[in-house]
Amino acid sequence: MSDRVMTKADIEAAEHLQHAHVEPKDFLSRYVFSIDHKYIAKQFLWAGLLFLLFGGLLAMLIRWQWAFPSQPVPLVGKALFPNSGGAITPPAYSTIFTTHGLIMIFFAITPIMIGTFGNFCIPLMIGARDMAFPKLNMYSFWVFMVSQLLMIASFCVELGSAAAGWTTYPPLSTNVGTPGAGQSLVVLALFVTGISSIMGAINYITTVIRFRAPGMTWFRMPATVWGLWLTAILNALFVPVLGSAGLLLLFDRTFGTQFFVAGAAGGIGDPILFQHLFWIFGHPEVYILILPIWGFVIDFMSFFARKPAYWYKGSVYAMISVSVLSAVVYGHHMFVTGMSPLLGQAFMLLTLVISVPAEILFLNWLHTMWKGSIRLTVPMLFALGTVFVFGLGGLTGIYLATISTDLYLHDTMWVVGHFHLTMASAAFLGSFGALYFWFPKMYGRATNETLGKVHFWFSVIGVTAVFCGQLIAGYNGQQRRLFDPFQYTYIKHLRELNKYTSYFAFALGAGQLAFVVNFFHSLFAGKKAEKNPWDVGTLEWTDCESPPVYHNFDRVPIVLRGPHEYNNPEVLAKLGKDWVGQSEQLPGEDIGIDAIAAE
Amino acid sequence: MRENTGAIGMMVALCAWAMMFASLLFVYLGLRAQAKSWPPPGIELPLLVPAVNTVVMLASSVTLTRGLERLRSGSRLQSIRWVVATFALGVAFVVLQIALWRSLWLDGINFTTGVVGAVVYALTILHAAHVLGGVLVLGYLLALVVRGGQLQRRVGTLRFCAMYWHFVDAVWLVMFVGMFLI
Repeated sequence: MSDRVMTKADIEAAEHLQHAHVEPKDFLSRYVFSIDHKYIAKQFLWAGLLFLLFGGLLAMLIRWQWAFPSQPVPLVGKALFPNSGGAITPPAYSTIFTTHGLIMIFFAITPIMIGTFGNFCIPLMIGARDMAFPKLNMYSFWVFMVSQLLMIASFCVELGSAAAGWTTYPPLSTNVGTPGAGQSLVVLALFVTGISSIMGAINYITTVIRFRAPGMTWFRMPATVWGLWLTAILNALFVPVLGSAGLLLLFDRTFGTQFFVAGAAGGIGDPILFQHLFWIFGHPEVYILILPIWGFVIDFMSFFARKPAYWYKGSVYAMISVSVLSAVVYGHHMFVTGMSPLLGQAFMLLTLVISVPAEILFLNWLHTMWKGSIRLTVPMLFALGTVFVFGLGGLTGIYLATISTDLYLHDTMWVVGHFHLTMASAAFLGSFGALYFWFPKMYGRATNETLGKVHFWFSVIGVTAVFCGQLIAGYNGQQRRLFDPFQYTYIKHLRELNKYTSYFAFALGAGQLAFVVNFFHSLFAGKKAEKNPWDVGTLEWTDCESPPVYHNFDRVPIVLRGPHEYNNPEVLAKLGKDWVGQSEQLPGEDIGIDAIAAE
Repeated sequence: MRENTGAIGMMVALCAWAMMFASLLFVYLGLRAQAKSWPPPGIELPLLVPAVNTVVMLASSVTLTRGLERLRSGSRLQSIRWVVATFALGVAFVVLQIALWRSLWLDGINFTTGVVGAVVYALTILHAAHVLGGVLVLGYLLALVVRGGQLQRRVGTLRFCAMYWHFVDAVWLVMFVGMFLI
């Protein structure tokens, strides 16, 4: 009780602030237009998983093309590309790699990581009964649904979906480079999904500020909540920048304005301005996609090493400094645009400075595990895998942050390997770890441990092999996005490398079947989950049933300690177990609110 | 208590909106910095209508503040008068903006007239759309009153509306100074 004295008024205020909603009985407001954060989380999960499958299949097509250029795609080729005898055509290829990136980032990772776990974890972990604005939360999902439909519609129009690369650089993304309604629909879909993200962010930020249970001080929050909260702040501030860029691009495409139209496209605007806006958004975005994962990993390391998180405050400060720094490093994406060398050096320095807080996080994870009693559960395995691939990705990023090496590596497969290891693989493994961890709480059923481990090994070996293969190819000069890389003499010898990389990619894809089987089997026939199967102390496990009741908590919990109390000698002596709940009173502990306890 | 929760949410939303308008102005600055002369020879941007509109916008912020004050101190009728005044000023702003676009159009400046046309139309139209949004919310509140609703029960809504209104006002000030005055 050192950092905050709790009074009876505090507790009454918390109860008053969050009166329990009555559970609706009719079908529509219960299962479709639900305002319950737990249910909205599940809606985001399903939407995200479907698009993850879609984006994953697109990735398989890209890998097929790089292993066997212009050969008919087995099984689905005849149906997808009837005019070319089943082989991927150059325009189709452009659409495939463009939409793979956009779908994975905005329609798979974002809804799963932020939409699902943000919605599910934040209120439960801070002891709130729902989000601050439950209706806004519902609108956030349905606005997201509209953007999904726009994305799907873009595949159905003449000339197909977007094909200007996920970065959507003009002049390629103007009418001259990419004619047809598909590109416009996709840009519109990004704008709409941005609105949904901002609505979510408003909710997450406000909920954490206002709805923490009595005693839940900032530094008693689980790191998961910190990660999601910082992500929400970055979302609220930087998604609008992408929104503006998208709007102006749409104006260029539909009304004939000339913001980004120049040169060969016949205007006097400035395409580089789009790159500025895109990366002012884009660089915070890559941290948007990793901060929640860092939060999960900090918590999981402590939960499954049965030790307090090493220098928890340091990890939080590191995440905060990364969030701040992420706003001032975007120029490293634009070293080759003719940027002033002085400016370039400033961006290089700032970018390299980010490795300091990242190192702090890494050392804290390792220190947390050091001499711990590590339990290699499925979520812990995924957390370890996340640390491994993020480490690889982080180290390869240094070569891209440094101007002298970036000039050679820019636009090669090295870049592709790097960002897939950091933001794709880490977000992928981290999100699945989180899903295995919270699945029992979400659905009240346990998942199958063996299938989970099979899924883990396929995934971690798969992503490592695939993206390291890309790193090697890039280091040898293979440009990214080439339709048939082996037309170039100097890349010809990389054909075998690409082939084996693709085999690993197919294995990675096939390994996801273990998840699909596990997910559906557990959903319908899994063992009934206990209240707290992992023996951890955060509120959603100690104060809620699995799954939680509609209003989460009958009484708003009173929080007495931080989230990482494991193997505390006092607790061991008094309770005879190696963990203690955040709201669990030790025998003889003075919690300073006798009046409440007596009631 | 719940009103404060709403105010925090509104602040976050306004930060997001501020970033959106900041990005638009960033594009304007980038394009203007690269132009040989601004506005290009032969194009003259009007000053009178935007100046009048600045006065209208500032006045509407004052009237809305008064309306909220009166509502808080319990003078229901006075408060409604001020809100009606704000509503009228908001409508006047949009009408004057339409007149501005019309006169620009008649002068031969349209979307495709280089970057000047693009910037002036896109930024002012996006801004006016936000003013219109505020006007619609005020209209909704007034419609509630006409139907016999109690404005007192909507203090929160009016407060958030005022926060938003002042923000849109501030954006206009920046646009007026940045685009028409200098």
